Amino acid sequence: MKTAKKTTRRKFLKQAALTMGAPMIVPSSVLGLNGKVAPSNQIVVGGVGLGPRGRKVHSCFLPQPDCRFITIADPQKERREIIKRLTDRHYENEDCTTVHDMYEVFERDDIDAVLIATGDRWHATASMIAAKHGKDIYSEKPCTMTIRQSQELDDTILRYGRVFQAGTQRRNVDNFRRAVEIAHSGKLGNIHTVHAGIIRPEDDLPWLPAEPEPDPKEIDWNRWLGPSPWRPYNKLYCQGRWRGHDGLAAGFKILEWGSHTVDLCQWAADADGTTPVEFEAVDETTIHAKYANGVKLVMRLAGFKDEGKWLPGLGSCPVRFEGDEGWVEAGDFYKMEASKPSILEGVEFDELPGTDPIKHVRNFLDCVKSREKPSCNSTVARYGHNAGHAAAIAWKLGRKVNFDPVTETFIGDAEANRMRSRARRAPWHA
Amino acid sequence: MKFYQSTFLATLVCLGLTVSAFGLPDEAASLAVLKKADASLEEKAMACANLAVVGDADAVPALAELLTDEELHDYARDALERIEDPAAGKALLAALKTLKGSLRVGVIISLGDRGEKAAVPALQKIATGKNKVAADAALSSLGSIATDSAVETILAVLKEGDAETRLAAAHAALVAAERIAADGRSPAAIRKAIAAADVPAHVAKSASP
Repeated sequence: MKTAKKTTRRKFLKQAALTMGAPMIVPSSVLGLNGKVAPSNQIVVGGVGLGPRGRKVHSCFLPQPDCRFITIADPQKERREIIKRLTDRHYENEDCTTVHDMYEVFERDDIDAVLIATGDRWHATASMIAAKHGKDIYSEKPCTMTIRQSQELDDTILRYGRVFQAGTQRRNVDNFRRAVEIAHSGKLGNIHTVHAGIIRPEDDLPWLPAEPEPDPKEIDWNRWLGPSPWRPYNKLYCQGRWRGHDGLAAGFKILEWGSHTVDLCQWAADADGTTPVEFEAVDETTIHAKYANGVKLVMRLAGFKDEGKWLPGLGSCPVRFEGDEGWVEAGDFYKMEASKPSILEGVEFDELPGTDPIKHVRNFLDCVKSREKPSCNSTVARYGHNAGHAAAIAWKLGRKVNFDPVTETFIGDAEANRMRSRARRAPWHA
Repeated sequence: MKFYQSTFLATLVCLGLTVSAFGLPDEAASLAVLKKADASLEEKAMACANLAVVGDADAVPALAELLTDEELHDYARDALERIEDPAAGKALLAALKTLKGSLRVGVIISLGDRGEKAAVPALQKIATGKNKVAADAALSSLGSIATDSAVETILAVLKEGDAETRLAAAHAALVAAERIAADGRSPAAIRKAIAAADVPAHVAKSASP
């Protein structure tokens, strides 16, 4: 095995700073004095539902010179106030406004783009409402709850000509990018199998015990639930314990990491714009899929504690690309290993962890200005997510299912097709 | 069976009910849970969720009854939305007459998602009514159904409605145009109407394919 060379984080940050201020990205015509971007040329951003992960992404928006974050909508008062405090501290003022209804952000004419990180249940619906209001969108993942929602989201983004970036940031993290480039370079021979790390699928979490609903000014449970089916309030849901609950989280946890790792596998397999054509759960933590060209996609157990049969020490969200002449494997700890030294010869990458969305945010903002499609645009997300959703349906049904990537329907399987969509709670629809 | 474990399944086992050959309990088992006097809210919700996948016309009456239940409405409506049998569409349409508020809006959305052509006259009436939230949802559903008659109503509202309903009509018209184009018909007249409508520029601009 061979490990690739890494540049230092300091070197990367220096290079990133130069790149971010380069004329190609921020034209000199829009720069004010001292290299600052004139306010009239800044991308004005609002936030929707920013918890711990949302705050990480928010922290990547704040230092961008051509961006100004001005408001936060969240049904939880405590979270609104945290974002206001962080934003005001950064800008050294008290200007960030707080609202509990996301529509108040979408309806503002002075906002160009929104960062949505509400939790799975709201991502697609909020993104579509934002698009209808003419906003560009950065949405955390999983971006959709169902196959049908992936279709609707992509159709809506295209219909209104919006810029959409799915929060699957590993497409803009160096070691993963290099691993894909290696797969595309021919160094591995013909790619026959791509492997995506997933956490343990789960569908049996019971409802949390009912608690009295709080004052909506503190936590607006109705708005928090949004399009999800009603269930009794419990504060833990609002503190992140919604994960794994069917109706609140997507795809029986398969999309938790799978939206990242399957996305990378789709890219490595040259399968953006399609999905595998068959899916089968071979045990409780492994789903095998196959593309029309015969390439296999293996979704298998990984974890924070080296679960699953991955190379140790590469980090979370691992992927592995195998060809008939070798393999390469990468994970979140800015590491990559390969079957032989020649594969990694001359390969360098920075020390950006896989969880860091700084470059992904930059890619989004650049595209807001250029109107180009970001690396994880709505169409890329549609098919990557739908591969994950189809895998989740196969896992739930416990049988092999055949999928038509063109019609995005299961072939000859009524039950699987019914699992392609679910109703949204009124009045939230898009 | 191999991967399906839940409190719902535990209930079924207690009831001595069978499950299907695959991973989901069968329709009879789910209906038994809905009829069980001491089944919990969660067990009934899970039974509805299962019927959304395995239910047929036999499940419709029990599900339709739950449409008036504020806590189980979403689960029952989800099942009725996904059951292909025409009886499910009829039950949703019938519920329009009795439900009020957000429960009624939910049914309006589901009728659109099902593409229920028989619901067009009822939706047309709601789309031109005074309740803005219901009208918005009805316009959206008419856009999804996209029959000639549905489009006619959308375009009338687009021309004559107030600012709020004009905007809802424009969004619905954009969807209808896509549906009509997918059917191989020309959406040019619809797109022309949107482009000429008094709606925000980004919406009017979206009418250009």
